[in-house]
Amino acid sequence: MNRVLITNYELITPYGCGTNLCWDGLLAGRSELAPLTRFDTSAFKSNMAGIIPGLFYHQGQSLVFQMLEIVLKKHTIPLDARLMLATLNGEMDWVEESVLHGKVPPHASCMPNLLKATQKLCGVTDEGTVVSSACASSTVALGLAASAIRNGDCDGVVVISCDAVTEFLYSGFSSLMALDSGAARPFDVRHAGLTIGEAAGYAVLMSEERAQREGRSAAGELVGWGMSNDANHMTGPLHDGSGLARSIEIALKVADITEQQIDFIAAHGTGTLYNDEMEMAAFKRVFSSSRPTYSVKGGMGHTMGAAGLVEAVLALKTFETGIVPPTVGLQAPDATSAGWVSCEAVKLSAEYALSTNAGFGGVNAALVLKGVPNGN
Amino acid sequence: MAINIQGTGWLSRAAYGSKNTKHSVEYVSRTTLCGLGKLDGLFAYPVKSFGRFEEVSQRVCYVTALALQDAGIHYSKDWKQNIGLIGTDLYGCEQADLNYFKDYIDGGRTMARANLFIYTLPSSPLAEASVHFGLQGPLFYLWNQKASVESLLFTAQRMIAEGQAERMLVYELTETLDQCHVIGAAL
Repeated sequence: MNRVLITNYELITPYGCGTNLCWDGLLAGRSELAPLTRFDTSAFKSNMAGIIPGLFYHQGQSLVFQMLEIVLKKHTIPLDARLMLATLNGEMDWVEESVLHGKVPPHASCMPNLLKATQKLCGVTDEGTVVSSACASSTVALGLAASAIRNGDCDGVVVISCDAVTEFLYSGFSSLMALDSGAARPFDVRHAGLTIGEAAGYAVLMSEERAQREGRSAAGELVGWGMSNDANHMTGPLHDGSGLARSIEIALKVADITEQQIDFIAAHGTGTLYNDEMEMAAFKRVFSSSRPTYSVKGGMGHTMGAAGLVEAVLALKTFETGIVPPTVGLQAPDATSAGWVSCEAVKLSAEYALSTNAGFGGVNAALVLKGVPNGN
Repeated sequence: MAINIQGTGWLSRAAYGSKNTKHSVEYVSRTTLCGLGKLDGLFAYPVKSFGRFEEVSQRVCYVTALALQDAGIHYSKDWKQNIGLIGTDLYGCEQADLNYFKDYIDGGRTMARANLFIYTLPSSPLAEASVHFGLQGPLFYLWNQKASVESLLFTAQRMIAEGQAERMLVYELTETLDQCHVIGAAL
């Protein structure tokens, strides 16, 4: 079995282009959630979103394409890497344009088109694969990529992920009554819904053998992944957390470690009552004691299919810096998460992290990441 | 780990059937696609709100029922099984996306319909099947240029070998034929 190293990555988030910008913003407790001007929100319960500045809406290129163009500009992706593109549903602005103006070519919004464009942007020879599993899309893609490397199917995979704030998605989340009227406050006693955000990024996964051969240092190791489904409801999670707990238990088993070895948790933490309570119930099913736990969604919003990639990359920053970020927007934890989450950054020398995501249709996914102190 | 296909259900615009049992029924001369659930009793118990599912979800539920039956797998409202679902089709949820957004625009951009929005993910049809049949394994949409059943079967095999699920359902959805294969460890 090959070790799976994460050799490089980059993100574009509402904090700007660059993982460090995002990390610094989170550590400062700064939220980039702000009133939305991209489209009219007057009919909705909320007008808040996490928006990447400088993108153009309905002006020739989709939002996710623009995001990918920026984040992949100076990429260091091996051209022979397998390509996995993870997204909730890709270029929804083409659907909007098609309905509003009817001038869009047939199937413009379909995943194969975005995959082809992504392949061209990053220059890899592999024609690629699209993975979509609601808001756990990139978490699932990372697991599939790691599985392929561990089992020797290939020695390098790039997982690229993206989702954007469109009127399509905003109106949909609003119809589900899922939006907080203000900025999302995950795990807070006042949490009342999510705020959607946008992000794109990539992570290169490589076998240890190849990384050593090419002299690449590693930011971390992906050692475990687990996936499950609640089989309960299209939009509501299993309240008792048993579905997500099963994902976590599978990920720990794949990683061949015990729950006691997990040092901190990068939670999905959307800010909805249902999600936050379900997630804490899952953690309490699996863990014998509390661990430093946080959500980044009060800072950048729920970046949907990209959330898993963003959160896994940020977990690697904890290994690098020895700091667990605060839960931005948190003032007073609700009763279920008290003792787990914090509004302050926490110093921690960590070896293992758990990152969790869940989504529509009852999907759950969990990753176990390991720090590599000397980069190998 | 050796795996095999333990059952297959299929559905076309005119007929449906299953492979192991070599069962096939032509329905198009007597009912519509939507009428099959009630008239032909394809489900062990009624699918909640089935008439409100968009068409791809209805088709996925039919082939799931046929495939499980073909593999001799029983299902019930009262228990859940560690079976995953992975599927592919070329256009994903394109029609559901257009239906949702057109309805929202036609309604004056004020009231979007949640019951249309929930079908705007490529994984939504699989999710409807997971809820009805109580299937708790991994669930995702996968597409590539070579989205052949072989590549999906390979992924399913890996999921089973890793302990992500005991069995996997692999869906191939096309404009003319939908198929669902039940994949499990060979005995």
